[in-house]
This record gives sequence, C-alpha cells and structure tokens, in this order.
Amino acid sequence: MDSAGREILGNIPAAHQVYFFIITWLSLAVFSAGILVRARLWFQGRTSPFLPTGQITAHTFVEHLRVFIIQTFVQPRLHTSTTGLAHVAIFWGFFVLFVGTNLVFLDHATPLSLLSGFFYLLFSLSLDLFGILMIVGLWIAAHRRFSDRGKVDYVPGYGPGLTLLAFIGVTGFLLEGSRMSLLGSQWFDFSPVGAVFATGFDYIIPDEAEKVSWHRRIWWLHVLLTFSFIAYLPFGRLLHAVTAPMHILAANRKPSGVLSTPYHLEDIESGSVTRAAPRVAADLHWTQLLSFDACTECGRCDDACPSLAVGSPLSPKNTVSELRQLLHQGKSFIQNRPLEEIVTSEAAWSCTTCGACTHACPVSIRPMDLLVESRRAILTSNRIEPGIKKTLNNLQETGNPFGFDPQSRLAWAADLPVDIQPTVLDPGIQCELLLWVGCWGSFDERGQKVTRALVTLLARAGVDYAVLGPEERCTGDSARRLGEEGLFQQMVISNIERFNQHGIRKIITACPHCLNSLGTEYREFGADLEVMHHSEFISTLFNEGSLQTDSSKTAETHERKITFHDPCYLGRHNGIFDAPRQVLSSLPGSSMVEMEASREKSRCCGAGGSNAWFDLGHGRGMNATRYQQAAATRAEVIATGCPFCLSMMEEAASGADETSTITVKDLAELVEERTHPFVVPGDNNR
Amino acid sequence: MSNIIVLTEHRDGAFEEVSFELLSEARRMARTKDGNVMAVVLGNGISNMVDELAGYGADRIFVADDARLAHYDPQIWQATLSALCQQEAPSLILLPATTTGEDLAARLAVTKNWPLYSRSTKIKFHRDQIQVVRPVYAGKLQETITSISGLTCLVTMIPGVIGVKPAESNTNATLVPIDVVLPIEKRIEVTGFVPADPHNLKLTEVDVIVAAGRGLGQAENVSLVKELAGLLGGAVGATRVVVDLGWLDRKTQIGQTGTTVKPRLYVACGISGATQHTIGMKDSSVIVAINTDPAAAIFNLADLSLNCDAVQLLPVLIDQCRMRGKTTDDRS
Repeated sequence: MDSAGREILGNIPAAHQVYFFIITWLSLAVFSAGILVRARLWFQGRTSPFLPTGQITAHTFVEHLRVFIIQTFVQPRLHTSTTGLAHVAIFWGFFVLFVGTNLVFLDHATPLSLLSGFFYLLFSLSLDLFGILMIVGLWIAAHRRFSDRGKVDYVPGYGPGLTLLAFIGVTGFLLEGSRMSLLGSQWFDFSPVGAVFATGFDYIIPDEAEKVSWHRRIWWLHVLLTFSFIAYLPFGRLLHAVTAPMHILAANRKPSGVLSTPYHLEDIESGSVTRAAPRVAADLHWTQLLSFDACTECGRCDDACPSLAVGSPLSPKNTVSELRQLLHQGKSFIQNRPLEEIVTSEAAWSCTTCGACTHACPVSIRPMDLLVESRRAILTSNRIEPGIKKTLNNLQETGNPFGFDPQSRLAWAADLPVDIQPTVLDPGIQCELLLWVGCWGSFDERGQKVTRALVTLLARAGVDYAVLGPEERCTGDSARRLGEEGLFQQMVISNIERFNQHGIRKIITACPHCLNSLGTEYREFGADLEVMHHSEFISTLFNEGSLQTDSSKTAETHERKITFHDPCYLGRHNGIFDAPRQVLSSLPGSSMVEMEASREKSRCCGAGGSNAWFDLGHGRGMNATRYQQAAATRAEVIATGCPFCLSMMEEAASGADETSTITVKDLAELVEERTHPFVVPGDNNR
Repeated sequence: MSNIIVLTEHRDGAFEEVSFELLSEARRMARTKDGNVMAVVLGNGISNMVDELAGYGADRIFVADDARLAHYDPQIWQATLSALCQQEAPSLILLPATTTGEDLAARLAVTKNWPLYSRSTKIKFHRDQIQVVRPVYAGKLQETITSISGLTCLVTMIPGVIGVKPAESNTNATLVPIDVVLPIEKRIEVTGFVPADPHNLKLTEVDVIVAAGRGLGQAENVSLVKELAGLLGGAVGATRVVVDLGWLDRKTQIGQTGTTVKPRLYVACGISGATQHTIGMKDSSVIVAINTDPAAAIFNLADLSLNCDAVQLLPVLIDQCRMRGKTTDDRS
C-alpha cells in the first residue's frame, strides 16, 4: 500500500504545463482583485473596534471559532428542508474537492509528499465520494428549480455558478476515468466512480493514442472550467462561499437581545464623538456591510418574521438585499445615501425586535439590528409618529412609558395584607435581593395582579427582599428600542448609580424586557448584576423546598392543560426555556402541552420592540395569530412570563370566540394558586 | 384712556361662554383704570340677544346686524372691526382664541401694525402697559410678556381658562348700531357654511365620546353606541380589541396605541379598563362606565359607575335622549 499514489500532471506536455500555470495565476489574480474590490466597500464601514463584540479575549475567540465551525461545517439551520440539505451536500462536496485540489497543488509544487500510501487512498476515495455528494446536491437543486418551476421561489443569479460547478464535477470524473483508463492503477477500489468511468472509456476508446489525446482534451476542459469558476466567484452569487464563512467568523456574537452601542454618552459630552446616530451605511460596522455580501437571500428570516406574516411592510430579507444593492452602487452611495431611504420607516417601525430573523439566519446576519439602526436614523430626523414622541416624553419626564406619576409606583401594594407588604428601600439602605417590579408591574392594572401574586409567593417562601418603590425608573429598554440611545444611556447611568447606592447585586424581575436590559445590556455600562427571571427564582424556591405546592384544591377537579408561550426576550434572546416549564410542570393538577412553535421557534405576541406604545395601522393581529397557535393545543390555560405577552394574549383571548374558556395567566399567578398559603395571623379573610 | 374692545362670539343664537369670560375680565381690568368696556357683536339676526351682554359689564355694545355677516368672512369682519378701532382708539382689543378670533386678530395685527399676544391665559394692566401670560413649548413653560407702553395691543385668550367672573351688571349700557364696512378689494367669497358632522370630527375635538368595548358582545350592538353618540352630539370611540375585531374603524381607537382624548363626557360601554385603554381617556372631565363586572378596573376611574349590561342600558338612554330632544324641539 505504501506505493499507492499517482503522477501529478502525467501525460501533460511541459508546454501545456506552462500555459496551465499562467492561467492559474491569472484566475487567482482576477479572484483576488474581485475580493479586494468588495473588501474596499466593506471597509467603508466603521472599523473601530475591529470586531463588533469589542475586545478580543481568549473567551470570545473560542466562542467565535466554535460558532464558525458549527455554522460553516454543520450548518444546523439548513437541516430543516431538502433544499437546505442539498446545500449541505454541495458545500461538503465542494469543500472536500477544494481541499483535495489544494493538496494536489502542495504535493506537486512543494517538497511535501502528501499524496502517497494510505493517505493517497483516503484522498482518492474521499474525492470520489464527495464529488458524487456534490453532484447529487446540485441535482436536487436543479430538480427543484426545473420540475417545480413556478411553484417555488428560487433566488435568481445562482444559475451560472452552479452550472459551472456541475460541469466541473462531471468533467472531473471524466478526467479521472480517462486517466485511469490511460495509465491504469492497482487501486481502482479506492476510486469507485473513476473506475466506472475508466471502464466506460476503455469500452468507447480502446485505442491507446486516442486515449492520450482525449485525456488531454478533457484535462484542458476541466482546467478551464475550474479557473473560470475561480475568476467568476467574486462577481456572482456564489461569492457567499467566501463571504459567508468570513462573516460568520467576524460577526457580532453578543446575545441577540443586546443592541449595538453607537456611542457612549460621555464621549458625546466630551466631544470626542460627534455623530450620535447612523445616517448612512458608512456609519454601520464593517462586519454589517460584509454581512450584506454574505446574504444568500435564502429567506429563512422572512419565514420566521411574525410581522411579515401578518402583512407588515417589513421583510428582513429585502432589508438586507436592498442594503447589498446599495453596496454595489459604490462608495459615494455608501457614504451619502440616507439609511432611511433604504430601510424605510414603515419597515423599521414594524419590527418587534423579536429576534426570530437573527436566530434563523444561517450566516449570522442580524436584520433586527439593522432595523433598529434605521430607527436611530429616523429619530434624529424627528419625523416620528406621535405615539413614539409621547412615549419618549413620558420616559424622560416620569421614568415610565405610560406617563404615570412616579410617586404612584407602589399603588399595587396598597391593599396587600401587612405581612405581604414589600420592604421599600430607604435612601442609603443596603439590599441583598431586589425585586424589580418594572413599569407594567407597577402601573398596569393587570401587571399589578401579577406583582401581587409574586410578592405573595415571596412572602410564603420567607424570602428577604426589597423594592425600590417610588425610586424605581424604567430600565430604558423602550427608549433604546425606539432608537433613542441618548435617553437610554441617561436612564442606565442613573439606574446603575441607584443600584450602587443600595449595594444591589442580585435582582429578580417578572419582566423579560427588564431582565434583558438589566442583565445583558447594562454590562457594557459597568453594571455587574445577577438578574433572574421570576420563573428561575421560583424554580429555585421549589428546589430548595422553601415553597411547597398544595394539591388540596385540585383533588377533585380534572387535570388542566397548560401551554407556555415563550416570551421573545426570555427565550430566544436570553435562552431561558426550561425554568418556566419546570415551574409549571411541578404544579399539582396540571400538565404541560407544547405549541408547535415553541422555545426558539416561539412567535412574538406583537408588543416587543416598543410596539406596545405606538400603532402604525399595519402588522396588527400578531397576538391573534399566536393565540390561535396556543388554542390549537387545546390547553385551558395559556401561561406566560412577560407582562407585554400577558396583555397581548389576553387581548387576543377577549377578541376571540366568545365561547372559548381559555384563560391567560402569568406563571406567578398559577403558582400562587397552587402553593401552600402563607398563614397571616389574625387575618380571617384568607 | 384705557378702553377695551371685546369681540364676542356666538353660535345658533346664543353667546359662547368665552364671550362672557372676556367681557367680565375686561370689566375687571377697566375698573382699575377707569376705562370703558365695549362689546362688539357681528352677525345676522342677532339684535335681540345682545342685551345679555350688559349683564357682564359692557358699557357700550356695538352691533352690526347684517346678512353679509351671517358667516365669518375674514375681509368684511376685519374691515368692520378695523373701522371701529379707528373710531374708538382702544388700548386693548380682546378676542377669543378660537378659529375666528385667532384669524381676525392676526389680520388686524398686520394691517394696524399692532402687537398680538395669542393664546394667553392671564391678562392684566401693569401701569399703563398690558401684561399677559401664555404657555410656550407645548405648555412646558409659561412666558410673561409686557407690552410697550402706549401701544394698542391685540390679545387672544384661550377659552375656558379664566372663567366667567361674577357678573357686574351695567344698567346704563348703550346699544350702538354700526355699519358693515366692505373691503376695498374683495378677494374672498364666502359661499356657505357646512356644519361639522360629529361622526367626522376628530376624537380630540369632540365634547362627548361614547366608546365601545368587547363587553358589547357582538358587532351589531355597536350601532347602539353610534346612536347614543349621535344623539349626544358626540363621537364614537373604541378599544383596541373592538378595532381588531373589525367592529369599528382604526381611527376610533382610544388608548396607548390610539388617540389620547379629554372630552367633557366619556361614556365607556362594556370596557373593562385595561391600562392600554384608560391611558388614553383617564383625563376626561366626566367618565361614565357601564360594565357587568363589578370588579372592572374602569370603575376605579369612573365618576358614575353603572354595574349593568350596556346592551340593555343603552336603548333606555337612547329613548331618554330622544324624548328630551323632542321636548327641546317643541319649546323652540
């Protein structure tokens, strides 16, 4: 076996070899020039910090590499459809052939002797098998395109590149067959496809001299096709073979719920930063510009978008595509064309920042972030809907988006029995554990009920905690998602100052939006907080045994079915899927049933991204769609863990069929119903 | 010389409240300076109602009763009032900050080259100058302006702010008919007047809103709300759910993601009172809530809580309104 191997460029005359190398370098030069032209456009974007995640540490490096390997080589987001699997096949075929060809080059052009012995046989077998895999993949793609013509939406522009690739694959096998037929080999078993072709060759062209000239013709055909392909790559849609892996490696790896920080307020104040919001594409980060070229228009973002599904004038795919077209228009457009002309305000305001697009994208593009960037641009132009203006005014003046008097923040606690009353932090008092009530929990009639249920539970479990009361202010989440970065940062600074005054390190909250901003977005501004969703906290209380379920009330009634609606900011954005399920499934007399679209695939209720505060008239009915999905499980209770979702789902419930008996509850309320009551001495009403 | 001219406003044969507000305020001011208060009434077929103005302190009442003044014609009104100002040389001309008053004040200011302080909320004499207070920056700040002494000023006052001062009847009030003065070059022809249909008025402009909630049960019952709104001369409002169900148009939606309204009367029919809705109507002057659920949150806001089914109550209210409407019709 040690003798296994083959002669490289056998049967190719020396003069031909010279032309071959000239063509090689020519095609590589065209390829490099093409990539450089594109790269010059990407680098019109911001380059500081070089990676959007900021400082590259060992931890972030490993994280980038991990995701790169998974998304590039495993492509899990493509496994859901035949077309996606065809892509995986084409990719792997192409990748192995590409590596194989490079090995041939290294073996031939360097002193390294790679292709011999066992390794040669492995190489030979792999190339044959993966070559077939690629052709099968291309066949499925062609079949889909031609047999389902008119039925499927395929993206134009891929035809030439894929056809070239198919011809390269087929001529490659022809070449292998003709070589084996000409030179013979004792290792036919390790080139099964080549062996079939070789037998064919022997049969059609038995003459040795003919074999020599046919082998050269096919060799040239294969060479010319291959180098045309390489030269063409940067100019066609298959450019993504280069840009997608590049982007996946460099892309923003912050949690999807963390929006970019275009500037820090203190830099604006000191004058070192003068541009407060992106106005043109050049104000975006270079990796975002690269992402436009990485987009393959596969449309997975559009399929995932809940806003598009109800007819909003928003398509995450078109948003990215239009930005790519802008990129193709060149430098002056990147630098001068207002961003909002491309990402229209209708599209930008239709986004609920649910992050479904970001989580669906196989090449790590974040369309949601681009839509928020556009909101920032629109906001500086001051052409905004009155509802948005009102919300921002309210946040500025009252510290809550509703515009309620901040002094009435404790109204929810007014009628609570003394033993359940929360401790309100006085100035300067230190606090171990803070219950962050949030604006909905403080002011909204429905949210207040959830807060009361939650504090009842905390009292039952004997948890020592406090609330900020009239001192509490919005986290700024709404301001940031409305594009008002300055107001957001003002609120962040004053909140962090307040936390520091009280020595607060640990927070529980029933609002995933507060959880997201306090727990993840605040980090960048120097906060080091351990923020827990109430589902996580209740789950620990159950595990510790400090909270115990009470099955006495459920003995005679039938088991009720509960379905859990994953709030975007709890699940997708913060990865908390299990805690609420653990809590709900441990309730006596209840069983869990899952919606088809649950966990990562959960669909937005429609209120995220500050859509709770304004209405442009389109994109309504997201809550009704989600409600229908929940009702389809035949659950009696729709549980959730977010005040936005709660109010949206409840509204959908009241708008649905009147005979429906489905109730919508926060998980805290369900737990409160089914845990051992806290015995209040001398309170006979309970 | 501290004479004050007050332009009155009237509709359907009755003076608007703001006329009395301005007159009584002018009376109070004139007393400090020993000046005269002159009321101006322009219109058609109004002679028999002008006496009422004496009851609010007018010394002289200038009346131009003419068919050509039936509707507000900017040029004729300006020319007539201009001529009067020329003749009486007042130190202050008070106008209501209404569509007509604001328009006329601006026109006079330009032709006479007088200062105009629009949309004021307070006014007084400061020595021989006029001092007004007016909201600026969308009501965030109040600015105080003092006029240059000796200059005649035009001031428009926001209706409903100063209120009608206790009437100081003037038994010696004289009625002075004046002539209509026509403009030199007529550029505007007023061809008619189309009264606003309350249904088409913006929700922010109406005094009465009857709002529909999910508690009405079904789409057909919305007609009851529409009918009551029509009888009360108001408009129809809706909660988001009702709009989402397609029972009413989106522009009727009141609340967080709809319109914020402050009518004098808000009748909430079958509305539970979710914050997203109440945030848009909580500042209404009088809130009447009709709901079957005694624990409905809307009752916390309501001035009058009616714990019953709106679908049963509304026909009764409609009948009552119809009957009262009839008796009023009979009287007139």
